[in-house]
Amino acid sequence: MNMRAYYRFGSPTRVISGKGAIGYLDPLLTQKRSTRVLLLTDRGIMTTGLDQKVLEHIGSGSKAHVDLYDEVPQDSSLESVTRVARKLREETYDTVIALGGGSVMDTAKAAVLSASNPDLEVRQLAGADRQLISSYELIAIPTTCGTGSECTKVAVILDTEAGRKLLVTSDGLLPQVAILDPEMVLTLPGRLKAAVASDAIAHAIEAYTGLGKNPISDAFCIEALERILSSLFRSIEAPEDQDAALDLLIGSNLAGRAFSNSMVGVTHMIGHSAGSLCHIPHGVCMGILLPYGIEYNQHLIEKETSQLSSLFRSYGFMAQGLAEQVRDLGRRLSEATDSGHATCFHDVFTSDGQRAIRPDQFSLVARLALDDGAHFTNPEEVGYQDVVNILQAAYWGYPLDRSLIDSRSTPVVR
Amino acid sequence: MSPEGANDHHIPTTLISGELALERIGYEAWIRGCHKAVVLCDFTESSPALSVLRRSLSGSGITIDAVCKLRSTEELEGIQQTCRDQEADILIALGSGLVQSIAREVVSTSGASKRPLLISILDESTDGFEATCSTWLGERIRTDRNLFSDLIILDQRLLGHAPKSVRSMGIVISLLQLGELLATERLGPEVRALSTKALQLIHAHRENESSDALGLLTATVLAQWAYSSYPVGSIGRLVCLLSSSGLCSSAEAAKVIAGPFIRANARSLNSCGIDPFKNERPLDTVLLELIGSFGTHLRTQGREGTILSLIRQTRGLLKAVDTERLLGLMDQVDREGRG
Repeated sequence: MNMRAYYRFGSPTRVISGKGAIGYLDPLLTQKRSTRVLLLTDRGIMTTGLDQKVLEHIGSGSKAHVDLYDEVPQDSSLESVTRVARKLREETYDTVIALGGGSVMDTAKAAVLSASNPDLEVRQLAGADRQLISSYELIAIPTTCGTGSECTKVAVILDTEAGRKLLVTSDGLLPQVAILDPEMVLTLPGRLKAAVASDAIAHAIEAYTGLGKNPISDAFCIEALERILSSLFRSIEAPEDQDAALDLLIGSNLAGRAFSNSMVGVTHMIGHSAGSLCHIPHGVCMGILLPYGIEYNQHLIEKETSQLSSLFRSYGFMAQGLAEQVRDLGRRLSEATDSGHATCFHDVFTSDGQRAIRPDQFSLVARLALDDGAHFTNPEEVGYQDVVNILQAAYWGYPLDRSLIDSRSTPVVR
Repeated sequence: MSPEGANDHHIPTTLISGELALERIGYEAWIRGCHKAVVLCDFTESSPALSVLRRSLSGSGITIDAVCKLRSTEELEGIQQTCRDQEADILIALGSGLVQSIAREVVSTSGASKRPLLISILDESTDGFEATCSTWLGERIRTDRNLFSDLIILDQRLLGHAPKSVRSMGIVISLLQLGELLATERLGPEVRALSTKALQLIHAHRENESSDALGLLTATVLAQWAYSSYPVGSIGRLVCLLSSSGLCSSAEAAKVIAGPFIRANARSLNSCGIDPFKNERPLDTVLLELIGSFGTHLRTQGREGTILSLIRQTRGLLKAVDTERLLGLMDQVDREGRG
């Protein structure tokens, strides 16, 4: 592999994790001298009552005034970010608490950055490593355990008008504090847990095997995988098990901090594209595509996959090689969730019963995937036909035919 | 529910490591809007390390406005004044623990509306102090999360020439500190990950004469990042107290303390759940072997008894002023050392 001559690792968000960690919220608001707080969430969270659990923990010491905003859509959009940013400015909030999954986190992060830089339109925030500063306190409380978004400097915003997702990366997006409390994920259904955990596992494996790997990210990846593999099935079978839920939260957080520094690879390249064009949930894409990403790079990452394969074996995954072990994990998750976890794209349906992705869309998905920044840190070069081959195999759930890639006579076109 | 017992991890420092890490300083300073640097070091202006640093920064638009060669703690005010005079917004600390401590005090008490960017550059003999959030000036120890450096730079060009005896000093201290950390009751997820990786890196480079200094020094940074998350630190304090006697270096003191300390804490160490090499060997054995491997490069022959005796004497002096934990540690070392 062609490693970089140097690496940079930073994870400056303060992380408070444990049972009852939400109890830190009020002391934090006091410490930060917050006076006007916006609690940002979505309607789904409101139905679970988690917003009330958070509000119960505010006010014993701090004198902060808290408003609730629950209109974050399922996919963080340009319009919602603009609305929240305007609200932050006009109503002079100094602190934002983001309570929710990836969409709430991304909306909060982008809105805070936008409100801090009012001369820029939200579209103008897009781009890699934007040197923008946030002037708000942002406290992130995740209610899912997959993205690690509470500690990453990335936000993905849907530009509905242009029909594409905008990627913003900037240190200014980093929350100051993340609170990981297992009570916040206890209501997560098993099939969702399977999907988001697949995302976290993909973060850990791609960060560990990619060109941007470094010793600290590696350490976080291993700890993340150990936490997730030891607790995922227990958490699905016994949702009230707080220890298992905490392991999932911590595992996904560590994986997020790892990939935030090491980046990801071909699995995410294709996953972002398929998710964006076909509206397939990101975690579902990751669960399906990860074995193919490993197979695609296998010849260049023998040492790393062998190390990870040993780790999987110690948690009872005895199949030959990491790709097959990850496939086996997918099958077991499908069983544990009564077929609620898809192992191939053929089995993914929209809410109106249609297949979410059709073979005639592979070409479009492949072209968009090649624009994804993750290809810079993928060990093997990725070309258009490679992505189509992966999609075809992943559609039916067949292993990747390596001969199609090995027999390439011409260099790939990026 | 009470928040008691939650794990609280916060390391705001960014580590840049590799062959061209120094060249990244320009970019990191630029994105923070900083461009005027004062360098604080404990060697002469003609030193090779300073030349490398000058060359690396010259092309990136950063001017080095002053180089302050540090001789004692008395110079703190003078350096503060230099930084004010030069309107420096970057302070680069290159050198020993004293340099790092003074730099942290300067930055944390600068009084400027914007905190100067604090950059710590590791050299060969480090024990990872650059990664801590403490200052140690004379008898005064201060620990505060605001004292963390913004950036730590680990550049291959400043490393790789020291004899193994020098390199081993920091490693032995780091190993002993890891031992103290892993013997505590609760380990958070980040600490488990960082400690495990630190042990793996040290183990990987233990026998290699031309060993990868980057790997070893990274291990010291990770060990200190893990260590900084917990209110332990008795080992570091004891080692410094012993070395301040002038009878031994801090690394020699660590080498003598190591055996008794690890034997006294074997049970806690072996039940902490860390198995860095997945070979199910007891952690106390692993630590003793690693300390033995690096400790052979440190000469303490004949003075082990003197150092242990010093621990007993120092214990008497500390009763009124020091912590119960430190006294407990000294008791353990004394008891096991006699045994």
